[in-house]
Amino acid sequence: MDIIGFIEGPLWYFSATVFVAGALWRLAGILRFGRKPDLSVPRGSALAWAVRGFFLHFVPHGGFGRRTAFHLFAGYLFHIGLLLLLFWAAPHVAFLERRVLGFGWEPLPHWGFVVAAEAAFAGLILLWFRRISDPVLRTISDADDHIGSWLTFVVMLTGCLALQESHAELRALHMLTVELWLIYFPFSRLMHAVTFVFSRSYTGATYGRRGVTP
Amino acid sequence: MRNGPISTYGGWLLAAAAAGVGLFYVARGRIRLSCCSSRTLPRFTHAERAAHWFVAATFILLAVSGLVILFGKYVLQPVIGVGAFAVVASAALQGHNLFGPLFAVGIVAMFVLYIKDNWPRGADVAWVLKGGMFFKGHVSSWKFNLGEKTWFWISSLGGFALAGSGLLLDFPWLAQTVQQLQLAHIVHVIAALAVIAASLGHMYLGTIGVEGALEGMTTGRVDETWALEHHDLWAKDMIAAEAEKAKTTTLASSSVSGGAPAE
Repeated sequence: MDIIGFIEGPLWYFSATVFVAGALWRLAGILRFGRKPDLSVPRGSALAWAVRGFFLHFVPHGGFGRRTAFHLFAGYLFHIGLLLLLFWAAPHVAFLERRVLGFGWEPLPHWGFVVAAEAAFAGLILLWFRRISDPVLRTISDADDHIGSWLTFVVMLTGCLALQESHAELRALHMLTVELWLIYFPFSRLMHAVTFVFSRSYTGATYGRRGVTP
Repeated sequence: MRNGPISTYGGWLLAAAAAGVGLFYVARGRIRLSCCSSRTLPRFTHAERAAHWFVAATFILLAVSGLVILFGKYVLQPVIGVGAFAVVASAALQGHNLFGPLFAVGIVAMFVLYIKDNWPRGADVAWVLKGGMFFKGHVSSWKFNLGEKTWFWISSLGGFALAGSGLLLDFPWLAQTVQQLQLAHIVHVIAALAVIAASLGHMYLGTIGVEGALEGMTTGRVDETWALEHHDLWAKDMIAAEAEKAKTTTLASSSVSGGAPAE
């Protein structure tokens, strides 16, 4: 077995296992914390506010709109671009159909892929700038934050370098960076991709039960 | 032309630029701050810094991939072999084509944000007659000295040429004739070499070359002493504006509290 075969075979299975098992393990650990019993008289439905709180946090409110405008714009640009790339780029759809799910769907046309990739890169570069320039973010950012964002950038970059799909080496390089990203994911702040659902819902439930808009 | 005189002289231009930066460092050394004050002045807004770093990041990616495309056959291929170079060149081309449009958007934004302080002024003549920063000693300047203004116009006009010719090369159906594409190719390469060569000086001075410069583009503020040493005409205006703002704030807060301002 050559190095490309190893990357596309055993290392892929290993990294996918670490990703799924690691994410489930972290999630189980968080859910095991449970909720502190709230002895106050409920003023609202915790379940309803858990759902509302999740959706409410997609937009800023409470007077934070202007201060968070840059972060909001760059954040959505990056995350929406990345979501489109991950699940609607033709090579990814083909990979998911062949290696993971057994079924596929209509991918983006090439121009759509290019626009999504440009948006994702633009958003990530702007977010990186924010992290190094904003004094608060600079202070609270640690190695995990920087490694996570740089690793994501490298994964996206190697993907775009392999766009022509004419060299197995470039595809293997992209897969290798993806596998490193999958292994790093469950043990880092990249887990926010999974935990944000629970944290928003928990905040919504906790405050909504007390009659406060979260 | 592209593989002949342009590549040859372009390569020498880049080597000369790198050597020039090195010689400047050896001769002049790092331009240090004489002392630090506890006060800072606002130099670049959030939007100006965002645009700068956005263009810088895309420019570096484009410059590296572009140099691989232009010189790779002569520099890399003999080292890594034909097969490996084919892979590297393919990767460089894909990356270059993808980041080009991002750079085009960024350079337009940068031009709009920075042009107001980059028009030539009277002090620029005195600055260049005194030798700019090549000699020790104080030389007056507004927000940007003539060296910085020169870099602004080279990078902007060169950037527009790169963006325009690059978009034509990225989307060739926009061209009417093959000659237009050939011309776009020549313009693109010449502009790229000129801007990359000039950028070496900019990157050196903005990081290692001038102590205190980088903070302006990361935090948005510069040490007051730095500002007075390098851009005194601008600094005096800013100090006066800050003092006026402080006076207005003090008067406003004392009128709200209903008392006279504290002595």
